Amino acid sequence: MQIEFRELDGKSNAYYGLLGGWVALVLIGLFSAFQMEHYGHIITGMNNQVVWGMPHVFAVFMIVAASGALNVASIATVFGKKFYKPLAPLSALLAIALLAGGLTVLMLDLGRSDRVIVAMTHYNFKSVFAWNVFLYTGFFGFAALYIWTMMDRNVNRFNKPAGFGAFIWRLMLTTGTGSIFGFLVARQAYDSALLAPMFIVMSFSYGLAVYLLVLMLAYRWSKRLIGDVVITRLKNLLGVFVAAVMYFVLVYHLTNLYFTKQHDFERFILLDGGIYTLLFWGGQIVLGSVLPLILLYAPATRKSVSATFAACLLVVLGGLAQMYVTIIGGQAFPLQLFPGMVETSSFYDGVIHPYTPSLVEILLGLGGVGVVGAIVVFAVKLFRFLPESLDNSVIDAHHNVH
Amino acid sequence: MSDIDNYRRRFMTGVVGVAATVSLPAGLLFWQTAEGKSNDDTGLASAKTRWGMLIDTTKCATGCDACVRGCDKENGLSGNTSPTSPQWIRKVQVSNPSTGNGFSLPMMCQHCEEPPCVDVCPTGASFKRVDGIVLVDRHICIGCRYCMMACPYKARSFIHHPETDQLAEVPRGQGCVESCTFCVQRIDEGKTTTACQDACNAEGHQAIYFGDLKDPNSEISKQLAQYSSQEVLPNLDLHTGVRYQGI
Amino acid sequence: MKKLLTEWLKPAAWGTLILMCAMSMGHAAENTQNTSDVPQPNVTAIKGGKCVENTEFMRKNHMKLLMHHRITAVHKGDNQLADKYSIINCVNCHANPKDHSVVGPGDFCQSCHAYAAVKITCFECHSSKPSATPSPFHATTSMVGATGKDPHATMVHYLAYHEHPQNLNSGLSAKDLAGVTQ
Repeated sequence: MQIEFRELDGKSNAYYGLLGGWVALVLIGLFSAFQMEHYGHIITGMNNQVVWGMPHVFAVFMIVAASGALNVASIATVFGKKFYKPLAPLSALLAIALLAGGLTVLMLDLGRSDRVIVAMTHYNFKSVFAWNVFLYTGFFGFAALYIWTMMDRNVNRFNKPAGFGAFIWRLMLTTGTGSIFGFLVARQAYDSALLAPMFIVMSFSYGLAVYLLVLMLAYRWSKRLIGDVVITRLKNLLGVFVAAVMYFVLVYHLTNLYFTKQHDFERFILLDGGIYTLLFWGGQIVLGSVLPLILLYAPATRKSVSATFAACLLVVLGGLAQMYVTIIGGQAFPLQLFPGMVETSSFYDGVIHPYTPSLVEILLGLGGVGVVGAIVVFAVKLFRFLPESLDNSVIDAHHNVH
Repeated sequence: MSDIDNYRRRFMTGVVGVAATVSLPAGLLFWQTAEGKSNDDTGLASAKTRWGMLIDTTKCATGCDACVRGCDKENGLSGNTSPTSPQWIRKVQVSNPSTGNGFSLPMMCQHCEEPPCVDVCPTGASFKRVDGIVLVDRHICIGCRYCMMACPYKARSFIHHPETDQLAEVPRGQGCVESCTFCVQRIDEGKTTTACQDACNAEGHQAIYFGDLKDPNSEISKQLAQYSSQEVLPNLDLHTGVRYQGI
Repeated sequence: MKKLLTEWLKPAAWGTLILMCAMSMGHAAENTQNTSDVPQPNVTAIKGGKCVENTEFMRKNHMKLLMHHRITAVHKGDNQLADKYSIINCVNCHANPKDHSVVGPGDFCQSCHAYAAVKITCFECHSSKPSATPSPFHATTSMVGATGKDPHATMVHYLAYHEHPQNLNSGLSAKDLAGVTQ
């Protein structure tokens, strides 16, 4: 039995309501960006000490998740697992949507977003940011090409090379994203080559969690069938990724704990950093890693679809917490001009930098989420991204797995 | 295969093709012009000069902020010290918690020979002039603040709100990053002192020397040759243009 | 596929059609500009006499001179006050004595830019008021400029710098100069 892909009908009020909701969120985000453009960043919580704030938490999360969302497709094409083949188109779509959402937020947060075209016309080839401009553009290109080879039988023979290219490119992309932070010699929280592979593993986890959430909701709301075979396979994979992220976090902090010069910073994040300590232990570790692992593997919940859904949601929230701790916590800890000395100045040297996100920047971030939602909801109606059924019988008959 | 499929494919191919043909040459074109060319006209910045500063912390008085006020006046800064206010130069009080010993010094852009802010800037807005002055070209700064993340000296500020009443010689505006320019407007007019140095001298401290590091006869070169001095965070090996005595 | 046609392509086609109609009407309106009932900008140049270049040249090329000056001043260390093509010297000459500005309603820069509907972003950063320090350069007394460049030397330099030779004086007509009072 051949697996059939079909567009959503998308004629119900619920569909238009959903699409309208996402579009409304986009408009709210655009309005916030306009406010920031008009009044300046003074209306955000960002300042000369914490220069990247809530928009970057959302943007980096989405950009990292984008490359991870493509993984399901990569498993099908690059690693030749036929089981994942029907899941691949949505995976590539989600990758494009997430990257678009993240970049939208990033661009609208710029001090001079009216000049964003300058980032396309003037390049400093030593800048990790400038590399990322190419990596983002290339990612869109590869993902689009990949979708084309999946959907059009005439070019289907190029599916494998396209998938391979997309896979290599996504690894480069996340390396680039991690290196935005990893290549910063100035700050104690960054300045580590570990950040690049760590961001790759984080992308596996965040991307798959978002993918599972979208898949489950899409099938529920379109009243199509999805069997537990598919969900079990994906959620087991998610569990592995969540554990791998924890491993990297452990190594990162152990390294720092071993170096005496990093002890102050580690004390700040792990013990007495206030909101950052809370978000690290409560958000990133307990809610975002331990609890999902329990929900995914504990005998009582491992067969429950709602528990899997909750686990995915928690991984996303934990990911946002991790981004907050990494990006904002890393800046809140002061730079050391004279290591071992106590510094004070009118420019807030030597003190923990306070940061309270304002509503506009949160809304701008949510506007990026709106972009993701709107693209996905629109695209699944326009093109054949979703198999008509992912019920166990269909999957079994097609792939003979179990 | 329906007509619509064909139509759609042709349309998409067209869009992608046009986008690629437009963006690639345009990018190359602008890259080429952004490279710049050497210029030997007199009166322009020259690679035969490297502007630098020497600060004698033994003469720098704790609690004195004359240099900061001099800078604010020269460059049209408000002098506010809220977390969102730009500060091009600041007085840092440093003390050793185990010995109690301490000193005071002005901290500003160190005009590195290998500036991290220039490395990370995606558009090349953050750049180093041939005479060693690190500047922001506000015309192509997009306000991403990556340079602020990269600067180990926390020397850069972002302008958080619309500016009015700028000085004619020092253009400044919302949404761009800025920092100490070594009073570049004075240097380009042929002067050889900075506002912070003048202010320090006026207070009678004379803790700041400014001049050409490549000229062995300049006052700063003589001082550097005679007395030991150090850059801040020497382990980063950035070869800063600002050096300190007594730290 | 039929759904695609009815639900997305049809509205899109209608939208495109309407947009094209609007654009062609705009184009038609543009063609009527030679008639006398079309309003012209009322530009007051403030300082009489000749600018750093003649009026036609400046109307056509001031943005190119400023772009050139922007590169020499920021990247090359050109003296802002002495360069006769610098934005400081534009403002010094053309600022309206009433509000000491070039960007107030009816002021030199604003009047023409409002007419042409081109946003001036220069003065988000640059001062729109004359400089406090008197400039060593004065257009009416020194046509060569304080840096000793002859009138077209800077443009030659500009062309060499940008490697895009253009005919800078072409395409000007009487209508380009309409409404200029000195």
